[in-house]
Amino acid sequence: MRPAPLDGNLSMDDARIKPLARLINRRTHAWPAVEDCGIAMDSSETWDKDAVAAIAESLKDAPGALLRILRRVQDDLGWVPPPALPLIAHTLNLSRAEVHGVASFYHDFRHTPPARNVIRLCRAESCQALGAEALARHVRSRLGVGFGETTSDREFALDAVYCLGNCACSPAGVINGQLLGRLTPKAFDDALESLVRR
Amino acid sequence: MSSADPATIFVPRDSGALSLGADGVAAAIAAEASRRSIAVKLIRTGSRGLYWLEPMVEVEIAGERRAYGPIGSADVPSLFDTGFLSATPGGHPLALGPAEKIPSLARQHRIVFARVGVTDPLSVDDYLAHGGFRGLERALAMPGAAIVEEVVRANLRGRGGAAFPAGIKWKTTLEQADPTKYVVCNADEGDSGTFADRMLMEGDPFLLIEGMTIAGLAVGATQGFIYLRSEYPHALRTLTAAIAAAEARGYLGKNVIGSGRGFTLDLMVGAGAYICGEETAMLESLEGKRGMVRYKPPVPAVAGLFGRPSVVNNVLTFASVPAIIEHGGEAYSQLGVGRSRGTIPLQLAGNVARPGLVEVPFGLSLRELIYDFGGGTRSGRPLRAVQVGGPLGAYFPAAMLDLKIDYEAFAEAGGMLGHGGVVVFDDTVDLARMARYAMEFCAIESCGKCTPCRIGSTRGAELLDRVIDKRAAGGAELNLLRELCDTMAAGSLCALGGLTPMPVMSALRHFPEDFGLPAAAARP
Ligand SMILES: Cc1cc2nc3c(=O)[nH]c(=O)nc-3n(C[C@H](O)[C@H](O)[C@H](O)COP(=O)(O)O)c2cc1C
Ligand code: SF4
Ligand code: FES
Repeated sequence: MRPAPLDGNLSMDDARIKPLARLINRRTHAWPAVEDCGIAMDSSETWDKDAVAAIAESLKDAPGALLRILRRVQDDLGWVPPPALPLIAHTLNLSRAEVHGVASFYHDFRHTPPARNVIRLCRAESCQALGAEALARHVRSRLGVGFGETTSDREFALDAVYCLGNCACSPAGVINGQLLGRLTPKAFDDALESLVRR
Repeated sequence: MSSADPATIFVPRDSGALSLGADGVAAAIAAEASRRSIAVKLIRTGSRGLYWLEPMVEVEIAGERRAYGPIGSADVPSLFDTGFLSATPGGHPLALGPAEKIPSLARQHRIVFARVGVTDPLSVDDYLAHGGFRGLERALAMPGAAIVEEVVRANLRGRGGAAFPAGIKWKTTLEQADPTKYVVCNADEGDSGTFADRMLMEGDPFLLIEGMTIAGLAVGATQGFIYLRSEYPHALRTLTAAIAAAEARGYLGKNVIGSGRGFTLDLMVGAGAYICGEETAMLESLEGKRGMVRYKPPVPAVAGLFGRPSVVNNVLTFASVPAIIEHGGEAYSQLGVGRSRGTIPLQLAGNVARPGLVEVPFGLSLRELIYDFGGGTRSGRPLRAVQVGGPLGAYFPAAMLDLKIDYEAFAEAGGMLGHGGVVVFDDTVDLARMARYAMEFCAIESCGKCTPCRIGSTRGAELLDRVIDKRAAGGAELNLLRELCDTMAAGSLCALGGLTPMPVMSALRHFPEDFGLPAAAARP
């Protein structure tokens, strides 16, 4: 999947530019990495438009509706498809830029289709105190991807997370939604093995 | 117990215990009991917080709970073989004796966590049987100002990090004329090394519901919100079910226990942003927006959620209230030291042999906490550093372990108690790398409003990369780093940018050798 070419006469208000500008500003002033630009991509992936429309409709009157809708879309679809944002904006009578702004602010929202298996490793202090960095090196080399990346066959995505509230059982991680504690390279390999065998 | 009664077995469903296989243990117990044609009653509880013993199984015999742990599924047949359900069990290598007498538990003073790990978190009857809703019953008979007065008298300070007196906040909201007010619970628990909010929500959700309802009665609010971080799916499930159960039994809703007064609760799940634990960013997020920190004033107590007066407190703050109302603020205030009154649920984590939850009155020393409760390092190597108060808290050396758990004592020592997280490191820790991590974390989580926080943190991480590469004494980098930290501390709107210098500078001050400087002389 390639980013849509940003040609033509673009203004800074263009919906494709705003989220990028935010990424540039917010962290380092550096141009974002291609994978961070996912939100600006015109996705050729299919997504369930009816499901998003139903979610938006059912939550549109709740307090804080926008975040609730994005949350539910992420939970139900596994990602927040960028082309779904105008639909949500329309339902809530908000500008697309506002919806983009919220969707791009929160770490949980994925802007590309999810991998079949999502692995999250805690990289915060308590887990570091019990070998989280060595574990992370092991996991990266096993999967052949870094944090924030997905394997090219979309089998595995690896995400960093900063505390899972399981610090008394550090190092902690999550594999496909299941919380794990006292993780070791061996325990990780065993879990991976059972995923592959499945 | 007559022999016809099925034995009661307790297995935690706390997410920490689940991460160690508690579901498998519960299933193995049910299967083994049925294979042996023994009737058992299996109750899923929260965790007692003794995580080195999880999954910990308890059996109730003649009114006493006997504990076994840590139990794996493979241990289950041997539990049955040794007769762990009989009045005179044959002794199992993993037997721990009566749960309440396990030394790490017996030494605690549990008020907030009294029921966690003991009761069925979703049973209103169990909650009532263990003294639940008595605070609420009393509060319903009191005018709002009298409830606030008890909280003031208790000297209860916010447990979320800033330690602001809860009673003062409540009083401010009570005094607002606006007919619409809100009670908002901060359940974002973003600080690494902390898990007490999670344990409470999973283990005794009615206590939080009761505390928030009392807050609503106190300030005149009929609607509450809980903002829960998305990393806590088990807490979400438990809270959702508990709110429904409380509604079904009339403890929440339009007519709380037939009083004619209403209070309803709504839950909202975050989306992965540490900054949304900062109260004004949390309010923005609750309104469905980006979690950008607001300028204060106005404080939320005056103009908070949707511009309405809002009481914002941490989970543990609300959960401390029912006991205060039931027994009076005076009794609560008897506990503790200095201006830190009552009990504090501490969370012991990192490289420690016996990690978990320790609720004690303020005044314990770090040394007692880490050695008497925690049993020293898990690796068996010498302890070198302790970080207290989450990712924005200071690193202290082993020489400072006599520090007392007390808000003022920590502030004086250049640190903070925060939400009560204590993370232990052995001598393999590299404090320059931990300082770099603090900067990196700030860069990842900055809301982007202030330049020193947004840009400074990235520059700080780069500077520390160079320090780590060179470890050259007195490098220009360290002077730059000090200046940068001053700028961040002075020029940041909230404590994320403002306090990131705390872990960084404390690491540099107490562990200069890790930054290529001469080692610090031994300190008292
Ligand atoms: C960056 C940052 C993160 C915070 N995270 C939390 C949190 O996760 N939970 C919490 O209760 N308070 C957190 N706080 C403190 C809140 O701003 C606020 O003080 C607290 O919710 C008030 O409740 P309390 O008085 O009961 O502690 C955070 C503050 C800052 C600056
Ligand atoms: S200090 Fe950082 S997180 Fe806090 S308001 Fe400023 S930019 Fe946002
Ligand atoms: S620091 Fe890793 S789970 Fe809390």
